[in-house]
Parts: sequence; C-alpha cells; structure tokens
Amino acid sequence: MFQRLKNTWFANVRLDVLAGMTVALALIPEAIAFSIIAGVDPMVGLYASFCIACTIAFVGGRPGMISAATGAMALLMVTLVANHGLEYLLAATVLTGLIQIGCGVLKLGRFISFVPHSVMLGFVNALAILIFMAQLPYFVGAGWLMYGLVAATLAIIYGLPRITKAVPSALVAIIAITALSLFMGFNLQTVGDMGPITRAFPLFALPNIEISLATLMIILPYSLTLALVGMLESLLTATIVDEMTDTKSNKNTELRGQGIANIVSGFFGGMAGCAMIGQSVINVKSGGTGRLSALVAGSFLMFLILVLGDIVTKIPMAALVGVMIMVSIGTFDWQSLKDLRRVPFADSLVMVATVAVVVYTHDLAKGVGVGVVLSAVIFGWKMAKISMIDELLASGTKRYAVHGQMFFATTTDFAELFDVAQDPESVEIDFSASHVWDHSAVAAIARLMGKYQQVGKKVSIVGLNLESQQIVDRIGLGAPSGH
Amino acid sequence: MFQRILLATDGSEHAERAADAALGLARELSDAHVTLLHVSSQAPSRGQLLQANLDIKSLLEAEAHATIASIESKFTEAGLPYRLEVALGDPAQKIVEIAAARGIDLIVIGSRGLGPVSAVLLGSVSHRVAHDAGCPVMIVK
Ligand SMILES: Nc1ncnc2c1ncn2[C@@H]1O[C@H](COP(=O)(O)OP(=O)(O)OP(=O)(O)O)[C@@H](O)[C@H]1O
Ligand SMILES: [Mg+2]
Repeated sequence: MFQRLKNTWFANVRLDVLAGMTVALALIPEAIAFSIIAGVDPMVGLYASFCIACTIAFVGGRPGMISAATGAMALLMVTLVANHGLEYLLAATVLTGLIQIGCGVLKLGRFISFVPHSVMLGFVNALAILIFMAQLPYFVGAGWLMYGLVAATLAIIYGLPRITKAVPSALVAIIAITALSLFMGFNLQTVGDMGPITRAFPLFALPNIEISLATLMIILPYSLTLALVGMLESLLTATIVDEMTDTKSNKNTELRGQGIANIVSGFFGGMAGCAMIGQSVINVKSGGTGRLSALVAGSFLMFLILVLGDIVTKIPMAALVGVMIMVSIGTFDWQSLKDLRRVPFADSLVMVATVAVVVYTHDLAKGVGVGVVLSAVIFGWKMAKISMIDELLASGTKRYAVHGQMFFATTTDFAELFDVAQDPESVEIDFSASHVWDHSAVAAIARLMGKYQQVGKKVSIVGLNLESQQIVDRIGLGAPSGH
Repeated sequence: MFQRILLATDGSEHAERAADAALGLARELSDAHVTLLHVSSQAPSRGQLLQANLDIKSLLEAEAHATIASIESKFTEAGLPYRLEVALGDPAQKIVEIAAARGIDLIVIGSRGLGPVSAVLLGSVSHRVAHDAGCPVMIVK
C-alpha cells in the first residue's frame, strides 16, 4: 500500500513538480480566455482548472495527463450561459460529471469511436474556427495599437521557439506585452475589464437553481454534448500520453475520473472541462509523468492567482487574443484540408457540412447533429445499393452473384435483377459477397424461388455466410410468406 | 561485441550516411542485429487518430515508413534483417530510453539532421544522445 502510493505519486518528484509549474503558467491565460469565450467571469475558468486538475490527479486513470477548462467545452456552453446564466452552467457541469461517471462505470469508452470520423473532424475544425471568430469582436473599432500588440504576441509565440524551447513562448509573450503596456501606460482593454479576479479559494456551493423537470430539460442537452466531447478529448489525449510515456492507462477509470472532477468543479463554481492535448504534451515533454504533476499544475495555478491576482487583471486583452489565435491555429486539423481530395467525397461532404452548420449557427451540437444524420443517410444510401454479376456456367447453369446487403431497402431492386423467363432450367444464386439481414430479405428470396419453381426451373442457393444461413433457417424458404 | 545496433534516423542525408555505416558494421559482425528507430516529435492530429481507431502505433509506423523508406530498402537489398521501432516524444530522450530498454550495445546516429543548416557541428539530438546514452554512440559525419 505504502509502496504503491510511493510509486504512483513520488516516483518522479523533481520533474513532476517542474513540469506541473510550467503547465500552470500556461493554463492561466487559457483558463481566462476560455471563460470569456463561454461568457462567464474569468474566475469560473480558473476555479474549474484548479478543481479539475487537482481532482484528476487523485481519481484519473492516466497519470501525467492534464485536464482543465478547455475551449472545446467552453464553446458548448455559450448559449446556455447567454440564455439562462451561470447557475445553470454549474448545474449542467455537475450533470455532465454524473453522465461521465455513468459511462465510465458502464465501460462505454470504446463506443466513442462509433461517432463518424468525418463528423469529429468537422467538429474539431469548426471548434477552431469558432475560437478564432470569438476573437474578432475585440478588433471592432480598435486602433492600430490593438493590431500591433496582437501581431507582436503572435510573433513572440511563433518566433521564440526557434531560439529557445526552455520557456513556454505564450507565457513570455503575455509577460512581455503586459510589461510593455504597463510601462508605456497604454489605455487598453484588459482582463480586469472582463470581470473581477478574486484572490480567494473557491467555496463549496450548490448551484442556485430550481430543482425541477423543466430545469433538467434545459441542461440535459448541454450536459450530454459536454459529456461526449469531454470523453472524446480525454480518450484522444490519453492515447497520445500512453504512447509518449510508453505505458498503458485505464480509459474507463479516466472517464469516471473526468466525471468526478467535473462534479467537484460544478460545486466549487467552475465550468466543465476535460483533458487538454496541448498541455498534456507540454507536461510529458517537460518530464511530468506522475500524478503529482497534475496536482502541482492545479495548486500552483491557484497559488499564482492568490499571489499575483492583481497583475493578472492588467494583462491586455490583445495578448490574450494573440494566445487564442494560436490555440485556434493549433486546434484546426490542417491535415484534413490536405486530405480533402484524397478521402471519399461523401466523407469530405460530411466534414464540410458539419463545419458549415456550426459556423452558421454558432452551435457545435447542431453541427454534430447534422453531420451524424448526413453520415447515416449516406451510409444507408451506400447500403441500399445491390448489384448482380451473372455468368453462364459450363454445365448450363446460370449463376447470379449478389453484391451488396440484403435487407428491406434492397429487396425490390434484388427481385428486378433476375430474368426468370429467359433463364435456363437451372439457376444458382451466390450470396458469398452479400449478407442476409432480415425477414424482408428472406421473404424476397423465397418469392423469387417461388417464381422459378412456377415455371419449372430449379434454383439453388450457395455461399450464405453463417449469420445469413441462421436467419434463413429460422424463417425458412419453404413457403413464400404473404407480403 | 556490438550485437544489438540501434540506428536512429530522421530521414535526413546525415542519417542516410549513418545508415551506410551501420550497414557496413552489421555486415562485418556476423551476429549483429540492427534496430531502426524513428521518433515522431509531433503527435498525430485528432482526425488521424480517429481514422486509425485510436491505434496510434500504426500511424507512427506509417510515418516512419514514409520518412525512412530508402534506408529500409537498403537493408532489404543487402539481405540484412532489421526491426523497426517507432516512438512519440522528444527524439533524444526516446532514443536513449529505447536503447536502454532493449539492451542496445551501440547507437549509430548522424552528426546533423533535418534542422536548419548552421555553423554548429553537432545537432541537438546527437549531442544529447552522446551525452545521456548508457552505451557507446557512433556519430557519423
Ligand atoms: N526524430 C528522430 N528520430 C530518430 N533519429 C533522429 C531524430 N532526429 C534526429 N535523429 C538522429 O540524430 C541525428 C542528428 O540530428 P539532430 O536532430 O541532432 O540534428 P539537426 O536536426 O541538424 O539539429 P536540431 O534538431 O538540433 O535542429 C540524425 O542524423 C539522426 O540520426
Ligand atoms: Mg533534428
């Protein structure tokens, strides 16, 4: 017991502490920016990051992975916050956690991959575009100073790593721009204008909402999408961290842990969050592989806010906008643009449609909905195609080879592909490139056989796979059924 | 004495020369076995991960095959069996880790790699591997 505690927590103390502190520094600007995107005070994101990072350190399934407030989750809450306010967001966060615990306990993690890839890709790209678009209002009516400072921020973020990778470049950019603006006395919009930075620990409180079915119906759709996206991000991140550290993780424990962390966050005034690919990679590359690294990241973040809260309010929005533009560029899946012409047209269509709907409605859930429905329709359409290759065998028998799925949607086409009158005395139907799915299919085959028998021709069926054979046996080909 | 040779390659010309050296060495030594290692420093995108059904190894292997195809064919032509290893993370750190884990007797790397050409004699990866490795390191110029 003691030994195990030592192994999971204190095997790598020095590097875990250093990496955790590096991550904390990078977490602060993002937590603030994601709060602003969600439409809540900066403290909501900061408290969320603190609660989630620290809780996950204890209950997560993937040591070394960093979870906190994220852009993906923030964007999913925008309309909830705008229409119903913060308290509903806190309640939705708790419910998100409950759903995730349920999924973890029921071991549903692997079903995540059932969501079509192209929808997920569209979702991610739409996310990046929305994060970018959320920055545009800051430029409206802004002077050259704003543009200049954003450009300077980006220059530092992308330029500094060419010189040194020892310090996180986004942090250097923020410090430099803040120092510059304080020194020059620029009169600019700052983080302080977005809401207060409270230099205090979060307090436990029940979300101040009416507990009723109506409330549940309001928050449930948000909680479901939050839970789903949170689980997906966490699985993707865990996969990457597994590979980087050459260790295995327990994905279902991780899902459960994400749920617990979100519940804690909701009760302490934080918004829902999930694993962060970027921060986790930073953590592991800085040597943080143990549970301690996440705990240090969360507590050091809180410490910085307690000590430096006043300075944080002085950060110009220009610097934060620059960081968010970097986040959106990093989130966009550029590979998918290159692949547009390589992947099947239908997949590209689904991806582009998902992006278009999200960008148009500003609602990630709607985009995913449209994408899923479109994929299902395309899938159905592909499935509903059936074709036949016929050949005359040396023995005088005509063989039909069926290609495609046999089910209710294909039975009409199936029947029309046979030429009962012209065919020779003996006919063979080969199902080895097909699959018989349902009653309609068996009935259609039986009807066809009936037609051949009426004109005195012999029909034999070959190549049924095991499952098809079973369903055919169960329903029987003997007497054509009524319909 | 150098039974297990690890050849780290990033697909650069320098690494190509390192491959020739490793190849020559493996020919001379009758019972030598070469492991080719390519480290990806950039994690695959979400889309790629989803498409591969979270099988990240297959993605890394595909990337490795694409970048070091010419070296692989060199070994195949020479009739020398080799093993391909892939990893994700910091190249120097991974090279050292894997060498230790597999009981490697000799690491062969190029002096420089794909990085921007500069006056520096040694790339950062070769420098750190030479510094941190627990076995002899052959740096090929
Ligand atoms: N990602 C990698 N995977 C495997 N081997 C690598 C990798 N990167 C470098 N190496 C090995 O290290 C050698 C030296 O490359 P290195 O990266 O140190 O030089 P560089 O790219 O010129 O410099 P830098 O990366 O510091 O800009 C390469 O010839 C290769 O053998
Ligand atoms: Mg290099």
